[in-house]
Amino acid sequence: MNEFEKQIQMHARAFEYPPTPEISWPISRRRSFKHQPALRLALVVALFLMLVPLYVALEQLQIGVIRIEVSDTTPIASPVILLDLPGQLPLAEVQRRFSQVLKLPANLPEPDYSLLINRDQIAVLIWLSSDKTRVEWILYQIPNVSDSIGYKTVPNLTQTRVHGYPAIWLNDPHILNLDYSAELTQVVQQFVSANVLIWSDDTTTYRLETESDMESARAIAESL
Amino acid sequence: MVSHLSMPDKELVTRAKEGDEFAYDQLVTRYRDVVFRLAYLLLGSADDAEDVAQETFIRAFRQLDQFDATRTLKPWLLQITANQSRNRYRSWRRYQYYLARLFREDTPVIASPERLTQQQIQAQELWRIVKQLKRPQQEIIYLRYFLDLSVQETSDALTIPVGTVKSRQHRALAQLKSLIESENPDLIEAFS
Repeated sequence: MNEFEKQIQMHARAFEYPPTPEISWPISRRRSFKHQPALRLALVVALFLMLVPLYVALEQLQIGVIRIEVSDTTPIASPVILLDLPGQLPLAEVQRRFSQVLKLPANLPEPDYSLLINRDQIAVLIWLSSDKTRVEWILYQIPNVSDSIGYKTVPNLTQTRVHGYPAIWLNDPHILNLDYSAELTQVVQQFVSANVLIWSDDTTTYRLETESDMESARAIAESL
Repeated sequence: MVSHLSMPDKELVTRAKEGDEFAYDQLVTRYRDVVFRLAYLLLGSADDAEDVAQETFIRAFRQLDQFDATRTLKPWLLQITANQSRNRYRSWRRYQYYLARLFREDTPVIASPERLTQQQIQAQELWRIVKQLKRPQQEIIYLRYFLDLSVQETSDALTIPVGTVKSRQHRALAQLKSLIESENPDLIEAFS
């Protein structure tokens, strides 16, 4: 081992790791769990029911197919419930299969990920940061013929406009419900701590999620 | 009664195959640190690393019958860990995690800077630079220098020949040295 390697090793050995979490019990439980599918199903159902948030809706707003329930309760982060979200596809395939013309922001590069969810009804485009460690933008494009999408948020929202169409800017934590009750193919409930711009034109509802400010989001929105 | 604590791996594996759950628990206790740490180094997230560590031990348990008892256990577990980490890195599931944790500040899993010693700060800086290497090169650096595996153990863990470990390690070190020289003169001084 040469001097450089020795130095690397010395510094590497000084690396401070997070404490190793207690994983013995979950592993032990999962080992026995695999033999009990009925119990597993019951627990999944129970977990789902437990995590359905209970909010008192005070007011409702609607932008395109997105319904926004305004509540006085700030949601708190819960474990993510994702029953499945398949659909990652090459951009060209998303463009081919999406029921509408897929719109891309002129001032962003090609998205890092593109997918179709809910039986190809909703297109989702994702842009990562330049170092690929964080998501910078997520754009949902939802035809206005889709089922309604539920939103639960706190009253702190800003009304604005995108290309003259009404838009809403959410910058408080909120819960996003993608609840396709008619088909029950996918139920997604997600805590969102990012900022979100929602707007709709005559054919499509858009939902743009970002950590950027409202003006940056509007600039992206208006470049579609 | 012989305590599981003092049993060698081979005996614990044999007992675990025969259904002795305490034997497998002991293996988990014995190797959870190194498994978690490799996953953490590769993924950069304690949450992801915890999931991968769990998945690694579950998979290992399910594949225990296929485990070649002439091999050593640690590289085999780290092989599964590296595979799981690669899958997670690429998987859609990971983007779901991105979505769920989106824009939240990363939880500072490492102690606050004022609590870290100078050497620990340099180790963090080293990690930051290692993460710029290609992933196969990162894996070599982590296994050889962060986790202190021998060349043979690294070969077993990555399922590549010893000669490939050496050549990949050589290239990784050269690249690492170049990055350190260009990015952090202070760290170069620390290495001089």
